[in-house]
Amino acid sequence: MNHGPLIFLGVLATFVASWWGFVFAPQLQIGSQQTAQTDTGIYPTRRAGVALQGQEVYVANGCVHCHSQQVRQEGYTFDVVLASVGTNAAKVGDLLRQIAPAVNADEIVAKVLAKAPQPILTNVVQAVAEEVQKSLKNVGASAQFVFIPLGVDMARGWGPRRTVAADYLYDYPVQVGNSRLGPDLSHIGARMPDANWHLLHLYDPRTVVPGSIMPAYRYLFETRRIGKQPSPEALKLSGKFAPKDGYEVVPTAEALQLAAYLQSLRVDTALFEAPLAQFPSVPSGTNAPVATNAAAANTPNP
Amino acid sequence: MKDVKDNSPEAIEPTVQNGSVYLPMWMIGLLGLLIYWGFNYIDAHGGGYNELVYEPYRSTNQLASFLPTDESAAQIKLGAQVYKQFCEACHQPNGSGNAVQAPPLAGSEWVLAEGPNRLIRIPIAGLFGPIKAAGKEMNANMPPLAVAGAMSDEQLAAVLTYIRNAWGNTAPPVTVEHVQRVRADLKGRTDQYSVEEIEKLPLEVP
Amino acid sequence: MNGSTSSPVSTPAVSRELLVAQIDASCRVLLIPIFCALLWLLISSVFALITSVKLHSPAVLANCAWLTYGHTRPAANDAFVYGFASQAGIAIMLWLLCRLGRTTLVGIGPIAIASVFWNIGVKIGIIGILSGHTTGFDWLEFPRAGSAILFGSYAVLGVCALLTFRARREAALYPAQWYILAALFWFPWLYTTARLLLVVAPVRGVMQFAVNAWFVNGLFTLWLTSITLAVLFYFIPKLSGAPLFSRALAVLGFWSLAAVGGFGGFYRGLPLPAWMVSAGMAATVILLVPLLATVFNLWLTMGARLAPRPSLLGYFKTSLLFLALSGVFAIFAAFVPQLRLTLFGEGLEQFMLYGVVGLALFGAIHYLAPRLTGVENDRFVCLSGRMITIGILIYAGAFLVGGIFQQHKLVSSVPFAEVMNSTKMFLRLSTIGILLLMIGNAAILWRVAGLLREWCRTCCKCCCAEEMPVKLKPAEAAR
Repeated sequence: MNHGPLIFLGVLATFVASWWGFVFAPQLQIGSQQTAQTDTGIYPTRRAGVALQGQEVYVANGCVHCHSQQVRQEGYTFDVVLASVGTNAAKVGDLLRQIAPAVNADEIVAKVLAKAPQPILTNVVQAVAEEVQKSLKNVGASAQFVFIPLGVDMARGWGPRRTVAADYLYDYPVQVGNSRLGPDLSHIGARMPDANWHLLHLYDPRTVVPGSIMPAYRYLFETRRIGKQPSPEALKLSGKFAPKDGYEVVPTAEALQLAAYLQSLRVDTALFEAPLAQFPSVPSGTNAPVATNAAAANTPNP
Repeated sequence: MKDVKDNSPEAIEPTVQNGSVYLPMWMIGLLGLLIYWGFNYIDAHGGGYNELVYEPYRSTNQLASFLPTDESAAQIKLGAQVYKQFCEACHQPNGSGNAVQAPPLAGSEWVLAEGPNRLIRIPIAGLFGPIKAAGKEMNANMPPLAVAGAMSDEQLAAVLTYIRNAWGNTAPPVTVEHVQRVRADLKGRTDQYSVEEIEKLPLEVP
Repeated sequence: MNGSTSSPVSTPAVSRELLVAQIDASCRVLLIPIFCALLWLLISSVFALITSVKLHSPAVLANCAWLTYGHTRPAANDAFVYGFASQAGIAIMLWLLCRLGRTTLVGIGPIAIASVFWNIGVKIGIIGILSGHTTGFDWLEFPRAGSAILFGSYAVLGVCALLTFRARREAALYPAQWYILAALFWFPWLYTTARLLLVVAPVRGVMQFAVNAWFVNGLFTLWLTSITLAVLFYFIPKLSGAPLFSRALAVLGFWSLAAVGGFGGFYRGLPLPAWMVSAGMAATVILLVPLLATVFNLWLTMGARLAPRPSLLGYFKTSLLFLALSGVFAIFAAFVPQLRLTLFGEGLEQFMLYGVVGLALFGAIHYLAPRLTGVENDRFVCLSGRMITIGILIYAGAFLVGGIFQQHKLVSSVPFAEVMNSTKMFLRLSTIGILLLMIGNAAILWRVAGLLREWCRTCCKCCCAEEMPVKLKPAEAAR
């Protein structure tokens, strides 16, 4: 330990190990990832136009220091959905009474006969779901198991499934974030699709979320005198947030870009590495049942 | 103890204790233990170093098991194989049949009937007699190719499902359960069916 | 030393002192980076104050685009790490190389110029962040211009350090020198790789996040920790008047840190393949071994004495204690779901920065500045130490505790607005903590400025006759 060159070599060797393990090897794996072909087309697609400019505004304003863009997942469960009854409805009904006593078998069979698939079991493990599916197949019915990701983030409606490398493929710079002083934004475009809500929120978050600690981004807006007529883009503010009489608040281009970017954020495409409730799905055009966790996603909670 | 009030510059630089090789065994043991635990942890949670495996999934096999098992596709694939093996020679690869040997299957009302009762009995028990199918009239002469032992229930269900969905046909699949019920019904029967006799049977499987 | 004798050189006492005086005289140029570092420290704490106030009173300064939270937070962080910690760290490491190698500093001129350019680079970087021209990556926000200048000056400083190391007259290497050598190598490799793969020729997708996290982990665990340990290994035995307890423990601590320190930086739940995340988490646990080895070694060197009266040793003891704590907290942050994403994560970062690196550098600067300027006064030594210690305990402590409460609520079904509402008290506490930190920062800056002023007067005595003050001899300046 008294020779500089030896220490240097040792330090070099150990450091190269970490570089190899956490930079080089991952680059070969996720760094060379390509887009995936999914049921709904190629995923991901590049953001275009206003949303792409909005991403630059997002980065320049340092939004990543409060908002993360990583949906996390702790587990998964299965539902079983009866898709068709086949030719022997009575036998199917009997089997249902046996395996799914919690549901009204006759009602289910009737609804399925009317071409509306119904869930018969919720929150079961994969083995049970497959078992049920097989026994229903043997009586001529057809059942599918529905895969449901579970997690605290899903329960909050912050995303239907976890985020994976494919979701960030075209982002630069990737804003995964290490801080949740504000809610996660990966799926905000689906949660809050209304651009007006975003503009109000950016102007002063307290207008739409009382008690929020998010700073007000008023410098993204212009308060100007109302011309002959109020501008159609002017924000509808009231109470203490409203501007002086004769003035209106209009979003600048940056605000509109940022709102467009936020509207473009969503993670609801099913992937091989991140399965999702719609995958396998019941045929579209039918009254597809709402998966248990997705119900929470419908509540308008930011 | 020296502190900052000392006016004279401190010329003695820090040194290591004379003959010091103190290295408690428990620390080495702890290092070994932690390294062992570390690699175990990565094995258990690392998904086999596969880039497609994210927490909480364990392997790509597990992910593959979540995919929809396209059952009908599997059945039709099996049915095509069975057809090639047993039926193609007479009924032809395109289901058009042969004026001498076999009636057509494509567009045949026998094949497309909603209830597959009669259809299942034909390969199990055989059929003979004048038959009319898809507008063609000929003499049926079907040997019982699907007797128990020659063809399994799965294979028969598969091939019947196949012919019911090939060459422009569309009809509900034949399930293994249907086949089992028909075989039970036919137990002990050795005679072939005549067309006359089979036309008296109901379409629904008993 | 090899441990063969406790007296380093066999020359008589008088020439020993002369040599030390020469060494310190040659190191006077290091006052430039040290003073500038303290200025950046104060600037960083001003930004940190603004950031902290905005957390519980978001309406403050809301209309100023440059001072929005998303700008002041990275500005505060980067000013601390690049403006203060790295700059002062390099200066102190250069001085340590001189002292431990018993040689004068090599490349005084280039060091002076490089230091000036370093500060220009940091200034460009901070202004870039505030004006929105950020790269978007944590701890790498400096735009290209600032970062290039920074790297250029580092290259000069690094070469001078290596030349100083090679010119050493002591063949044997003391553990502090291992850490200095390693740190001087780690920083450019980390920084260059990260900037290359993130800014110059960016990698695709979430790989950017992986490289960023690898860099941040290296920055804290390898670069900043090495600076701290070099300082601790030097000052704790020296100020305790006892030799370092065990060479074997030092070797174990060094190599296990080198081997495992580069890994880590990932926490549960990230959108990265499971193997990377679990490897990072496992590494965070294995880091307990170098931590234990080092803490044991230094603690036993001190003889486990708890010095009641304040002294410089207090800085290093507290830094060591906080280092141990942060190693343990890091494990919790990696394993407990979402904990790293709450205030806990940020509190842990600040705890490491101020509590570990900051205190160690403060102690070193308090020791160094009088010896480099030749002026003796110990105003504010205790004050700055106390303010930093109490300040960081309140600031980081509020965040750490608040983060635990926030995590509890995040993993339950409490609505998000309510989650943040419940942390308001901790956010307010953190502002008080930062105010104390600012007082501490100002105190050390004031002290060093005072020393510099006295020294400048001594120098200018020859130049301007009418300005000659009465008492300027170093011995007389001591009060």
